[in-house]
Amino acid sequence: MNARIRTFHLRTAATLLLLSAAPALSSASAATVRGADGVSVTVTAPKRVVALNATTVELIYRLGKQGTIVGTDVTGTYPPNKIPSVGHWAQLPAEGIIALKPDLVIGTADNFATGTNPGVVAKLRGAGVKVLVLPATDTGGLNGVRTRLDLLGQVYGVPGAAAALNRSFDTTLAAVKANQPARPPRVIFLYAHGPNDASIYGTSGGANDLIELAGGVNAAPFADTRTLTAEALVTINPDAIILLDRGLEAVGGVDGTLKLPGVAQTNAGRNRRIYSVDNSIRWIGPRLPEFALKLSRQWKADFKK
Amino acid sequence: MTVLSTQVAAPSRQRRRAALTLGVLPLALLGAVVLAVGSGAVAISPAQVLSILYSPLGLPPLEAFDPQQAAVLSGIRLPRVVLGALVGAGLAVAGAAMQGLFRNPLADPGLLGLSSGAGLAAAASVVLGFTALGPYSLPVAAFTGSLLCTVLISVLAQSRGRVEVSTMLLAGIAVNALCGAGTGLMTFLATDEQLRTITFWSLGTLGGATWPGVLSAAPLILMGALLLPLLGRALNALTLGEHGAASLGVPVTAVKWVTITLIALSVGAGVAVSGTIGFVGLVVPHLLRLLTGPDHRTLLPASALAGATLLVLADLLARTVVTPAELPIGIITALIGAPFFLHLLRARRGQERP
Repeated sequence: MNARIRTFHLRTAATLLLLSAAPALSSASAATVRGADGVSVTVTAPKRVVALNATTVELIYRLGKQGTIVGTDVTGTYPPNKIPSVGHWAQLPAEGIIALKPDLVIGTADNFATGTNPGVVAKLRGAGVKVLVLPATDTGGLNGVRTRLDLLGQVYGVPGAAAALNRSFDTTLAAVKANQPARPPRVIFLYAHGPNDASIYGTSGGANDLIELAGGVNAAPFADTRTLTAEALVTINPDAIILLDRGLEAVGGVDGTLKLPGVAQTNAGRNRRIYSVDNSIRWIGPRLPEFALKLSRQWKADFKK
Repeated sequence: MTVLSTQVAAPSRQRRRAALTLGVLPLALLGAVVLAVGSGAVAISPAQVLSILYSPLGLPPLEAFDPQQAAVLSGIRLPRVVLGALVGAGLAVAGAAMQGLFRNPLADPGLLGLSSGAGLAAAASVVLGFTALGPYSLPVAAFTGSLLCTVLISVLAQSRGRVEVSTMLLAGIAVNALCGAGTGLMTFLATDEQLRTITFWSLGTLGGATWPGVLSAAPLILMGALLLPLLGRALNALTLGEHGAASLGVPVTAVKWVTITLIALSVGAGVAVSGTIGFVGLVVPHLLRLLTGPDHRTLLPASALAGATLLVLADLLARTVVTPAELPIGIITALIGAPFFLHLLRARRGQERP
């Protein structure tokens, strides 16, 4: 679902009346922001925000508004922080969130849509808590990040900072363009937890966006995530294999990766073309261009012809 | 098949204990409900709770409260406590009836395929993207799955109008294995997000409680919790064996079908709205049998009351020990239930030794 971004609405007469009754707030401007679920929220410089998603937390930090975050979910760990967690995004506690006294709850369409979170948004709104639903984090690639950034810029009344951040993406992407490998490697993204437990990320989601930005081709012949089998991997015969940093560590580094079933029989294994990226890449966030730049530089050096 | 024989106390003493238990349990449930309604992540004082509850009458409040506290109490916490009491009562009374019907203290509604059928249907609805009924899609799928499995096992165990209890046990094991494999297949096909939904559903939670959800499950669960206790005398007779019961004039086949139907409806509805919550159906009847003896006329209503109390308290723990987060309730019931059960078993063995 793509959110339609609305620029600032003029304040309605009712809001004007409210604001004139509270002169202290008159300097901050109220913004009406339309969420991915079609529901608009009107906020004036939120001070207590519960941000239920890793990249939402990260984007708020980028906007310099991290001091407003009073709660997050288990994924909101970057940049390292001590923000209280309300638990797993697949099982959000309505009363626990309300207890943090938020003036705004920001979640994404994907974390509110799970079958184990029925009615959480309705319960929060029923208790008078404003909820902004951002577009899903695993779709739309970098454009999805830009959309969410724009919405957050409006929420916090700092559209200039959001635009500046968007321009910085362009700068990094230009560097990525200048560092494309001469020959696009065929790449597999392995999601590994240990020597006997790995799966392949398919062509949907953040891993695919990263591979394509960095100048590679995702060699996975499927969209979803599938368990790694030795024969499938040998058949695909990728030129490069990417793991998460923690995955690379869990399987025992590059040498350990070569011992995973089938890896040694691929071009990637034979030429030791094993790469790793930050653990948070599964959620497409503001560091996607940086990750892509790092990979494209490595690939430019490794895949000359 | 083991005959229930946990009788340790003399009958008269047991009758006194039974009367005492049935007198104390409603008070315990009331206390648990009051405690649960008054505690949670959002602070609402007892005076405010009372004021919010009687505010529709238009009387002045004992203590001022803000609209958010009222919304949390009536829209989130109350339905949750009511659902906890209902599901707990349904699970425990079904467990007690099941153990009586099978004359086996290890029987549990899971044997009829209730949990595994619900689990398979829930997983399938998540993975195959069944969303036609909106937020009710998963509960309806789970309920349908548990009923289908129960019907399948009951039909398999039936020959010439009679239900073979031992065949039902074996059919239950086989169908459970089949459903487990199906759920495994769905897990394999699931995306990361779907996998988490399946996992959290299977751990159980009352967090999804809404008034429409409570109202849709309540009639089915109440049918079990209120009607199963009426079968106490018949289940007592069944402890003599089917021929024995029949010679006492008990319509054995009818009793079996009615019991199975009521168990299936009440547990199926509970599983549908709260996921699978283990151990309540097994532990509560055992605990009460130690207290009140094996008479089903006491055991069934006492199980309903104690089950309701236990789940209300377990959910209170689930939503308060790690605020602002929450623990899945299935973890709490098993974490507290299993060691307690083991302790009871050992204590009882000590008593029975000459």
